[in-house]
Amino acid sequence: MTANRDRKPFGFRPAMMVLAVGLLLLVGALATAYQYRSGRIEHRRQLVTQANILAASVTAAIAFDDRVAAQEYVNALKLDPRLDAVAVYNEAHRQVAGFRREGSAPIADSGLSPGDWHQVVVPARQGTTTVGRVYLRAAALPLIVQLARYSGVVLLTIMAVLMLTALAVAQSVLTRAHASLRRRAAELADANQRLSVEMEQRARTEEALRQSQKMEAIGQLSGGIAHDFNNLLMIIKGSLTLVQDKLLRDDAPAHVAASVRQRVVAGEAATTATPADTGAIARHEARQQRIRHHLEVAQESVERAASLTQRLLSFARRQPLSPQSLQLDVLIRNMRSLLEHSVGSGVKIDYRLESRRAVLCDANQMESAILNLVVNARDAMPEGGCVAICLDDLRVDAAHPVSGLPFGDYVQLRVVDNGTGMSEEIRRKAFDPFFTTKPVGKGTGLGLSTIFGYVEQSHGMASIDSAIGRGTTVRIVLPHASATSTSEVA
Amino acid sequence: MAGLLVVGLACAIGAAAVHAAQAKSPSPVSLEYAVKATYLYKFAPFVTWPPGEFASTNAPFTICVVGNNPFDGYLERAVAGRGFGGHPFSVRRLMSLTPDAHCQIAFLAQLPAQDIRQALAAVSGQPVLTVVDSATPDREGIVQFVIRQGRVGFEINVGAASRNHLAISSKLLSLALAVRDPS
Repeated sequence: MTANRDRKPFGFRPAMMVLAVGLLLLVGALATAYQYRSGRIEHRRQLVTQANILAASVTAAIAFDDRVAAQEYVNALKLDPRLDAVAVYNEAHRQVAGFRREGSAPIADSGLSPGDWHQVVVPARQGTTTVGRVYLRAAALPLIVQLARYSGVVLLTIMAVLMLTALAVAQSVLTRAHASLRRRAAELADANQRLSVEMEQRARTEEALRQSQKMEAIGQLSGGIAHDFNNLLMIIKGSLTLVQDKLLRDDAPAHVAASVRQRVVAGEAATTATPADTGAIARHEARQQRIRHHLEVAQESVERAASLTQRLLSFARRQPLSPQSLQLDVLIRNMRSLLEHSVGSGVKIDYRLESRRAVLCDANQMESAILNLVVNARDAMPEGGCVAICLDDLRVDAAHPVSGLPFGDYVQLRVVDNGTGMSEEIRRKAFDPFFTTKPVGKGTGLGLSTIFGYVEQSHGMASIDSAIGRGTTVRIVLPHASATSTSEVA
Repeated sequence: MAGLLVVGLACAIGAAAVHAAQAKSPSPVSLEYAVKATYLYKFAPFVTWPPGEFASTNAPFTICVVGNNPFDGYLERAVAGRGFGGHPFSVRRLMSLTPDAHCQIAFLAQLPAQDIRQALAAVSGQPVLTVVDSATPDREGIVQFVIRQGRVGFEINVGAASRNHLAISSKLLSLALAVRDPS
């Protein structure tokens, strides 16, 4: 379809039309010329035949100089109105007989001029003996007769030209119609193309919406659970603290001392503790030691549970943030030793910090997010490699739209690795909480989801670009904090 | 001098024929005989001789003048360079006509040795076109010159022609003043 678009199905162009008409006229002219020529030849042939007949009849009259007889033969030709003049000459160039019509010139016995089509001469022969010559001259045909003779061919030519013209006009109309049809087809194809692009866009948007709704739902659920759970944890923690305090206050030596004091009041000599008392104290202390240990384990677990709920809250964007205006390049530079220590010697970190713009975010969360991403990158490259931390300005406007972001200035942070990459399926689930590809016990599955929640809460956007074998790029886009917005927050 | 004379005569023949009787000419031969001499060789194309008449393709066509010669050499000059279908004309003078004369045309004028009838009888049945002068009329010759209204004319005896195995062209017959067929 597109291949045929530029090619005319039948190239009937004006030049061809003119050529065809020209050819037709040429053929017409040739036919007329041929007819004219063949007519002349035929006419001449008839003239020669007439001359031959006369010459054959008049030989004896010439030979014996019988002018009367010769004239009789010649007079017979007078009946033919097409003849203008006739002359019979003998061997001695003397005219024996002849006639000429009113106003025509006499025929001289001097042969023929080559261009004279009207006049013929034939020898008068008896056997092999030439006795004289016979001249015949045809009357010039009137113009109207000549025109009438060629009118047939001329009429045919004119008809053919007219037909060709009509054909060309029809063809041109058809071509125009065809062109407009083709234009409309092209427009339709374009519209179709646009439609399919829009449909694709819509599908993508829907997918993004679904994803965001999913994240929202998970966030709400986990956030709610985490919140309530956190409250419960706080109660447990408080209770545990109280229990511990109680235990410390009512400790065993005091208890033993009280029993000793009672005994003194009763009049017993109680200078030293009895061996039985000493054993009781030791048992008591050992028991207390065990309880304290259990309490500590419980408190640690509560701490860990609190941390977990904190991260869940972070994913659910319910964590308390303390945003401040900061430059990410400065922040990252300050983290260098920490980052390099985290990735180890096998992985090189390439810093490309080209943005000096300030963003509004929680510095601690940002640091933990960057550390998390770099560690993830390191884990994607078990055999070592290079991690690039890129920071650059981004402008979102009508010419460069980014889905989900309003127009404006942003700072884009990218952590790029050339590791194993991930499949599309994994990439889609990467931000889900508790989703991890790491072995059991190695990851909580909350790292990326926390980052996602934190970035969303900071009015930014987080996304992943990855393909198996090509590495992964995690992108965080945060809005540029202008002076006014900074002051507002402050 | 003689060449000029011949050319002058040849040009004059046509005109002379019309006024043969009246015109005065310085020619040594009378205009009448000049015309007759011309007629003699001009008969040839209008007559058909039987096949095998000529020994070869370029054998001469013989015109015999029998008896007195009234042409005085004019005939010889007139036919010089002419021929009939490849056969050059030749003129022979005979005092009398004999069967073995081998003439194609025999002109009989005044015959001192034999009379016309004997001469005609000598070549009867042979392919000889006999032409009898107007001065000695004899109806048995094939062609008979006559003078009528001052013009040289001729009569034709087709019976005599067919006896001599000759066919005369109808064109010639149509010009003859009379055509006889006694048979």
